[in-house]
This record gives sequence, C-alpha cells and structure tokens, in this order.
Amino acid sequence: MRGQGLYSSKGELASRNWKARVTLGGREKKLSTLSLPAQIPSQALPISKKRAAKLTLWPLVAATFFMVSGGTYGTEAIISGAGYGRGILVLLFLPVLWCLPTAFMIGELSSALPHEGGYYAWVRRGLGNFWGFQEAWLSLAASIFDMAIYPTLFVFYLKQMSPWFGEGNHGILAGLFVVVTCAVLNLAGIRVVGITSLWLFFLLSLPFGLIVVLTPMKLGAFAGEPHATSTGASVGLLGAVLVAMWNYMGWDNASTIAQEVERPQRTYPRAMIAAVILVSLTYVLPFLAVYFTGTPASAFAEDGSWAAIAGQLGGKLMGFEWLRFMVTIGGMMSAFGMFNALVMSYSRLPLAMAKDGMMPKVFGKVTQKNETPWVAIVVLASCWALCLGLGFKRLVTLDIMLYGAALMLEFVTLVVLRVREPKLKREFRVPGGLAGAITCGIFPLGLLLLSLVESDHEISWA
Amino acid sequence: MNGLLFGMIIVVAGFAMYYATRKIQARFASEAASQGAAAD
Repeated sequence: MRGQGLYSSKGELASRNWKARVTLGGREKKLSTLSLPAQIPSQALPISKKRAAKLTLWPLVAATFFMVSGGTYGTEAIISGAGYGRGILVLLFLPVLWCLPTAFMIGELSSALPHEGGYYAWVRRGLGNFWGFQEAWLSLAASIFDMAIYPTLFVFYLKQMSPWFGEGNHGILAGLFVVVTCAVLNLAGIRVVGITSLWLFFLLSLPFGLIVVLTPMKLGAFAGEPHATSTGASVGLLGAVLVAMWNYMGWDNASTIAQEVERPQRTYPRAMIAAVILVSLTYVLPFLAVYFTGTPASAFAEDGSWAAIAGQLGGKLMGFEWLRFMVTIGGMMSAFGMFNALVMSYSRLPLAMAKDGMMPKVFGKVTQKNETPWVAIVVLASCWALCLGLGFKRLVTLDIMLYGAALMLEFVTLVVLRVREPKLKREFRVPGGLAGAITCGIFPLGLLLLSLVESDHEISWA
Repeated sequence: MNGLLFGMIIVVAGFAMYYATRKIQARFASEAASQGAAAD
C-alpha cells in the first residue's frame, strides 16, 4: 500500500478519492480512478483492519480448477466428435493457444491490481466505469445460465444412483440442497471453500486415477466389445473445439477474490500456471488411458459416458460395479465443487461494485468474522435457485460469446494499462514487452471469432 | 433461440442498463464515498 503513504491517513485518501470525482463534474464516465496514482485501491470503502483467514496457493489452485473445469466430466463430446487423435490434439493445443495467454494476462493483472472484484476492477481501472460495468454485467448475466447447470448435473448423476430423484419434485429439491449447502459453505468463509475444493479435487480425481492405473492390465481388452452409441448427431470437429474451449474457460473467475488471497502478487501467477497444467492433465490422461484399452471413440457419444466406460473397465466386485459408482459419485462432487467455487467468485462482483458505488451499498455488507459478502451470496444464491426449474441446457455458443466478450475487454485492459501506467508495479509480466502483451490476446481472439463465425447453430446438451 | 442473437441481446441490455441506472449509480457512489470517509 505504498500509495497510502502519499496521504496522511486513509480518511484523507478516501476523501481525496471522492473529491477527484466531484471536481470532474460527477460525470459517471469520469468516475474512474485513472487519474489517481496506480497503487491506490479503486474502492472507496476502506479495507477492514481485521485480518480474515486468507487463501493460500493450493486451495486457490483447487478453487481455480473447479471454476474452470471440475474434472474430466463434460469432455465426452470432444472425443466422440473429433475421434481420439484429433480430440486429444485439441485438448493438448488449446491450453497453449487459449489457456496460457489467458493465464499470463490474469497473472500480470492480478499481480499488478490484486483488488476485490478482479477482472471488473481491472477493466474499470483501464477502460473506465462504462466498460467496468459491462464486464461485471456480462459475467453476472452469464452466471444466470451457467449456475443453474451445476445443480442439474448433480441431480443427473444422483438419478443414476437412485431413480427416486427423477420422480416429482425430488430432483428440484436435491438441486436446492446444492445451492443452499454451497451458500452456507461460502458464508463460512473463503478458506472453507478453498479447503472443500481441495478435498473434492482429490476425491473426484481418484476414479480417473484408477482408470489410468488399471489401463496397463486392460490393453486392447475392449477393442471388439459392443458399446452404446448416441441417438443424437455428433458435434463434429468444430463442435469438439467449441466444447473444448468451453471446458477450458473461466480462468479469470479466480481473480475476483484477490484481496482474500495470501500474497496475491506472487500466488496468482503460480496458481494460474499450476491450474492450466492440472486441468490439461485431468482431461488428456484418462482419454489416453481409455484409448489404449481399445474402447472406440463412439463410446463417448453421450454425456455421462464416463460412468459406463469406468464400469466396463473396473468390472464387478461381488456383483457391484465399483468404478462406475465412484465415477458417478465423482460427477456429483464435480458439479457441487464447481457451483461452490463459482459462488465464491461471482459474489465478489456485487461486493466490489457496491464499494465503487455502482450497486446499492447493501451488497457491500460483509460478515464480521470472515468478511464474507453475505448479502451478495444470499441474493445471488436466491436468483440461481429460482432458475433451477427452468431446465437450461449448456448453451455453449452463448457462454463462449459472453465469456469471450468479457475476456477481450481484459486483454484490451492489459495493453491499455501497459501504455497508460507503465510504472505500475507488476510482480509478473507477460513476456515480450508491449508486443508480447498485444500478441497474447491474438490467439484467443482468433479462436473466439472462429467459434462464433463458424457456429451457425447453438450447441447444447442437457 | 440462436445463441449469437441471444448473446447480442444480453450485450445491448448491458449498455441500456448502464445508461438507465447512471443517476442512481451517482447516488450510490456518493453514499459509498461518504461512508468510506466516515468510517475512517
């Protein structure tokens, strides 16, 4: 907080912050903190003097893992659409072209501006209030469609274990259980969410680890076996790329909690790189393993195919398909973990916006013990719970478009801040100077444009 | 509905929302700033 040294007290700092706005005529466009020294936090409300428990590297990596991926689940359409060879290549190249540039950008911006609200705060600082508002709007609007999916996925796996949850309103109630439990975990504080994510990561990775370990004993074993094939049309290669992009997006979600992360300037760049590697491995290794068992790509033609494949691979133990059971439980944990981590991420947006005066100040209320934005969590969880019965599907094109627009604003912010605030302290920089910062966004932009131009129909699945 | 079209509607709604709430945002901003100054 070197910037605070420029003023005699935080009170003077806050009052000068406000004066800067008033002298600019109160015009909203001019409310940006662009004219203020770089190290001064953009939020007008003071940072609490009490030190709440903060998130360390590995819980942050685990939370990022769930914000982006949630494990191997949901990747089936990539292999069924593109086949093993091209599908695995897509899963290997996308991290380089799509994830690493994004991780670099987030690493630099979060190390330079570790503010509550993350990407919203960066864009507001770099491009002004209007674009800051749009950045938050795009994310919160997308969350309405995105967040209803995870309780639905949870129930999808639950029904595989107990068809009772498919009757009447039982599924809705189970989805509501996910929403309420995740809201309660989030109210308990950021460390609870981080540690829960870490445990869920280990538990849901276990069955896929077993699939990889069992493969040498089953080499080519299923080459001639019949497999269930989808009744629907395959998504094809481009569809596979889109689904892979969808599975590899959301890296910036972790940035919104920057003020609650231990030494964010150091922790974020390391967490981003670690999460990219971890997510890539959880996607590629199980597919490679299953390929060597001789299982045809068409076996992945339906969402949730992993359970059937695991059942075949693990066989029966006293008449019980143990590995299938573990993968199904893992699917529930994946959906739960993603919802849990994303509640943490999205709830910091209204908090930061309230502090900046872009939302009612009631959203800035935090619990005394953990400084958790309880109003934001309760309101957002209520909105998502209301959407449970709407039966949204994963709207890949819509998700990619909204996320892509927000992501492009972040890449533009990266370049704008390099030009406007060259002396801003950055513990991590995108390599290659200004040219590197500009080039960094080119591949993601190209992929986004390609996916939007080429997708003449919405790819969705329940 | 086509995903692209629906996405465009959401983007345009964001622009409209910003301009529709400018006055109220100015009030929130003044409240936030005065609360920040008072807290110190």
